[in-house]
Amino acid sequence: MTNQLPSEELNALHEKLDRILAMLEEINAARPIRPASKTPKVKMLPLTEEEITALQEQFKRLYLSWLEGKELEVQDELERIEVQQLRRFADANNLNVTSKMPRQKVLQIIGARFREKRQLHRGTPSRNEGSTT
Amino acid sequence: MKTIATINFKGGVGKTTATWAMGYVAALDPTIRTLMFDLDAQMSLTQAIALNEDGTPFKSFLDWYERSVKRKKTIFDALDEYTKPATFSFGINHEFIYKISERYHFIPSVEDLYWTELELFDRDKVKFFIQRLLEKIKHSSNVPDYDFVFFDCPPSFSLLSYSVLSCCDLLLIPINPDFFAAKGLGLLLNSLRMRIEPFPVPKIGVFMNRAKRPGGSSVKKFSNETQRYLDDASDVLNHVADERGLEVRLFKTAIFDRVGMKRAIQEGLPDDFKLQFQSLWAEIKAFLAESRR
Repeated sequence: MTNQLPSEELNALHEKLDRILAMLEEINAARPIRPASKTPKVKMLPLTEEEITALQEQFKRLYLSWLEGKELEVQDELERIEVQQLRRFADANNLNVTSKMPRQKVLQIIGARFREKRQLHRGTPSRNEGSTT
Repeated sequence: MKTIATINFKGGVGKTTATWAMGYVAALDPTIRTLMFDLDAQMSLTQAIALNEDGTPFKSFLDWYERSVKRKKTIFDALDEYTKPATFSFGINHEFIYKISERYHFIPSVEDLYWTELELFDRDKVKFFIQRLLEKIKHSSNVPDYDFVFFDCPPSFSLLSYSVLSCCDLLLIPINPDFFAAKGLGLLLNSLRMRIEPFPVPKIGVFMNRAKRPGGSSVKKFSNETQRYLDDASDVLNHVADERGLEVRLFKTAIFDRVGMKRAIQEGLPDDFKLQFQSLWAEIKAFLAESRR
């Protein structure tokens, strides 16, 4: 290398650089395109009055079915709802959910609220209940 | 004269401060005179009125109180007099009733009220004590004609609270935003009905005390938790009203939580609270004015 002229030495370096750039291009081409992570987020629209009413009615219907023992049907219906819509369903029913909360966690919160409501209306045992007439 | 008793068996829900604030905003109307009773032997309201904002005794009240005790003009003395076989001759004057302001008057509690829980008094007779005492106050020329009378009741079924409940026009129940408040409300209403009957059960008004605001940029009126328990309280009230035929109302106005509220009796009612209580008071007056079903 030391015997080469500076111009020859420069050409050799350019060739190496071209090869490196070509290799980098190949690597980039092979890399899977990331799902639109850099696309701007679509902000969740606020709930409208009509939507809140409809989602509260849906909650009431599901709660009553759950109370009747149709737990699996209720679970199925809730699991079929798209996660974003499930979060809106929870929010409309005044449950604390965040915009990134996973489906499973939202389902847990809904289930906990069903159990809490059942507890609210379940009578507290009194001394008179055990007595026979 | 309309009578309002604040009650909840759950302690620490804000009965005392709410009763005081309600009497205060009612008396802001220059045509209204209010009288407030502290019937709780724990004397929270009496102590709050007896202390200045720095915790030192409020001399004018304490002097009056000592005189009242010495001259046997306390609520306990009235009860003692009433339960004697002779005619109820307890004199009503301003040694018995303290003037907080020109239109806002007060009958304090005394430690002796603890004794009413023991079997020292004729229970059946005590039932009518408050009714008879109110008649005496109404017909006394030494004190004004009161438009509204408020009772701060103890968080239990004492003999005196029973006496109030069997003759008052409205039971005012403050609740807090938690599950036990909504659950306890159902138990309280059933329990009240069983104990008050065969006397007519008064109207029952419930309001949310210490409501929380929503976080962040939410446009909701209340936090999710507060709204959930308001909805639950509404469910419980509707259920009890349908099942037992009670006249109940969940007031739309809620009192929001604030650190300084506990000191309001000594330091004065902050403006935002004054507005909230005025709004609640307007709802209460409207409910009281409605004819009974």
